[in-house]
Amino acid sequence: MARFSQGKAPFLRLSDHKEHTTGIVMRDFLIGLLPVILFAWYKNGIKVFVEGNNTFVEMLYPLLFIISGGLLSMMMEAVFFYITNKEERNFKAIMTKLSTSYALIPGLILAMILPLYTPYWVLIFGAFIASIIGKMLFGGFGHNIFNPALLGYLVVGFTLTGVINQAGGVMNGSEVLVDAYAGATPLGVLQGSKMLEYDVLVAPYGTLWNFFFGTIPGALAETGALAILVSYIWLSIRKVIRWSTPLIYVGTVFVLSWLIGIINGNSGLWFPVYSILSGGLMFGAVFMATEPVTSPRNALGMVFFALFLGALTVLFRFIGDYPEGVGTSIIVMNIFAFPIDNQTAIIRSNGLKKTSLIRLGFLCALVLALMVYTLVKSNSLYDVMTGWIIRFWGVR
Amino acid sequence: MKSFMMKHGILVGALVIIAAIFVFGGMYSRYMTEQIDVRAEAERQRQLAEEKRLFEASLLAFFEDATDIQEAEYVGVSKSYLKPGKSGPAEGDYFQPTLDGSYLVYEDDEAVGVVYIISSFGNAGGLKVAYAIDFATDQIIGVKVISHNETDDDEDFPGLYYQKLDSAFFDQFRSFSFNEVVLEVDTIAGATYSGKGFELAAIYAREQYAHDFDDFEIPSVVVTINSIINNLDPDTFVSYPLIANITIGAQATVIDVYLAINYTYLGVASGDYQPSDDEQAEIRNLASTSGMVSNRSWFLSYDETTRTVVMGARGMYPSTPIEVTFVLNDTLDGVESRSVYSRESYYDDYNVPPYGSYVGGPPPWVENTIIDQYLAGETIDTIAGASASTEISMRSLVALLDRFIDSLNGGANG
Repeated sequence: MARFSQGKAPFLRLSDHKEHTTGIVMRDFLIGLLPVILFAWYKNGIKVFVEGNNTFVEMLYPLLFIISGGLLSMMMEAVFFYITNKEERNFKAIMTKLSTSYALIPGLILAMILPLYTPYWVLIFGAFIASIIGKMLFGGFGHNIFNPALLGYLVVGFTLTGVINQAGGVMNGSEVLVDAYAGATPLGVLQGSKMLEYDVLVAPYGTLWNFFFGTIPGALAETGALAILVSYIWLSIRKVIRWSTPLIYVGTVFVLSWLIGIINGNSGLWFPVYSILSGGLMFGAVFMATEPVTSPRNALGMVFFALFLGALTVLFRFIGDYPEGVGTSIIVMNIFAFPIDNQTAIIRSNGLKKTSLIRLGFLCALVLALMVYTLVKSNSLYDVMTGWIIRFWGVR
Repeated sequence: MKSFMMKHGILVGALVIIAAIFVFGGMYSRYMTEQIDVRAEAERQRQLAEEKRLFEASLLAFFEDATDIQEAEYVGVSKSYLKPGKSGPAEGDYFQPTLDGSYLVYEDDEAVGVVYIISSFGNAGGLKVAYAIDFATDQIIGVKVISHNETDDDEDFPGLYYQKLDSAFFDQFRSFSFNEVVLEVDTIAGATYSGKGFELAAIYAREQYAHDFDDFEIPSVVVTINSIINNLDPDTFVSYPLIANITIGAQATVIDVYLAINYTYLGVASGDYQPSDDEQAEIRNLASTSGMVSNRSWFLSYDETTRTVVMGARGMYPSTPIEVTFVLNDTLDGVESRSVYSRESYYDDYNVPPYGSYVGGPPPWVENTIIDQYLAGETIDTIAGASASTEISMRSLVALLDRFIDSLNGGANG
């Protein structure tokens, strides 16, 4: 009962409720993933097939790839359970363990955020990192520090990006034929050009509606903002995830991007909209930042967690070597999930006392400092500030 | 076995599934990657086909009312041409244009023209040009430069090199008839050599056209030189030094024509035929290589009252001919006196290599010696070291004088 010691009574665990067992959560979560999986299949398989740019066998690939990811994770955990417990090696016991440990999820999500042309052995390697290294070695479900799928994704990303690009990379059969894409995803263009212009960032891919519906180049399932939105609503209603975290996360990115746009003389709303609809932000916000094990458990903690995520994502997008900052920021914040959870729980249980106000102030100051730093590092705020200073004091 | 599967079945099953995913998934993703190349190749083929279609359409557009164009497989004729030098005379090397492609153009199933793609030479390397030829008129009616190696940036002509060859240049190919005997492309100042490349391509195209289509024959000049003699008529021999007897034209008409000492056509002497420009050029060509008459000596004047005949001869220096004045005797059958005006310098020149063996005196020693031997009725000796030009010119001169005296006495000419 240690984890409830600083909370307020009554303590009712949702998972103790008759209708909210692990099995049901699992089922709801998979139902939530379904629109996104179907979208990934539609965009990278069916649509390309309809357009006549792949064969029937190629058309099936995205779906089979994602299913294989889930299957791999499950089989690897089964082997792990078999090896680590000599007493319970029978089929039934291991199947029970698998179903209570969400064994399917890491590989499934990993496959969804990999590029279409990822070789299978890379997927197997990633699934191994995700399930075994990221999850089971930490003690299995409920004990892992990092989001398993994300850990797998980042290890693959840091080590095997070249292999994936060699095999074909991110563009599907139809997208490679579009000259305007020039082989780059929208965030890749932003990283390359650092120009906040609609014609450069959005126009080559159509309009922002294309971003919303997801018909832009990107990893298998990450582009489908609309499908992810549907999942978000479903998962929130079913209380599988807490609705606030994705909202605050995406909202933070929106506001910071808007400010960056304004600083750079482009106050249009298109840039913040572009920022939240491109890359893996929506996907990460809904399916990864909300993962119960690796994020804070109390509501206030989730708020700060999401605020930090938003600031870090924008920061990494502008200063990192990789176009996207979602994965890195979530992994980084996974480490701080426990301290944040800890501190916010104290604030919540103590109410408006001096000790809690200091803690709150500290957290707020930290978030604000990170946001300001992000704004300064993004693009040319230095130049802008120099301009203001010169205008204010004049040139001496 | 059953108990083994009960105990370890889950391990075997899981490993089998992972192995299966590894093997079949690996094949699957390899197939996916290979398909990228397959599609890229298909796309490349599609683009090539599209380019070909557009190219053929652009050729088809040369022909009014034409409806279809088909690639043809004519084999290029093998013919070399003397390549013009970049400045003036030919460099002496030969160039072989090649046929790189051909198309037949149809108007409702009836072939109405042909397009040849010919590689010729350009100012800076190759020139590939397409000529559209109309069957009805035997004319080139369209031209398209397919490739060239000219530098696009010229100091004098910024921008495309082919801007030099402006529309005026290309316009001449809208009706460029193959029925002219001599095909000539009007060149543009500053791009003369490139113009010659087009000209050679056109000449070759006509050769190919005549080879591929029996209806067309390359027009040619029918001229035969029967004889060429010196004009011995004192009234005309200064203006018209040579008279050629020729057979000319499709009807094989025999006429006499006057030629200059350099064989340039000067006019009809007798006969009922007016040679065309091409024929005149051909007469000169044939006459200059016929060897039927010496062009090294000629008449400069004849005064009947003083019986003085002045003759010229081309010695060692073509620009400063030798002049010999003869005064004939009363009976016009011998020479009374003679004087030689020579600006030859063989006394010095013939004593240096490659001659070096001249033993006579200073000019006009050779001239005088030969004339004296002639007047004395002796055999004219060969003069060591002088046989290259002065001697043969003087032999030609005395021979011409001999024929002239003969003619004055009613003898046969020559």
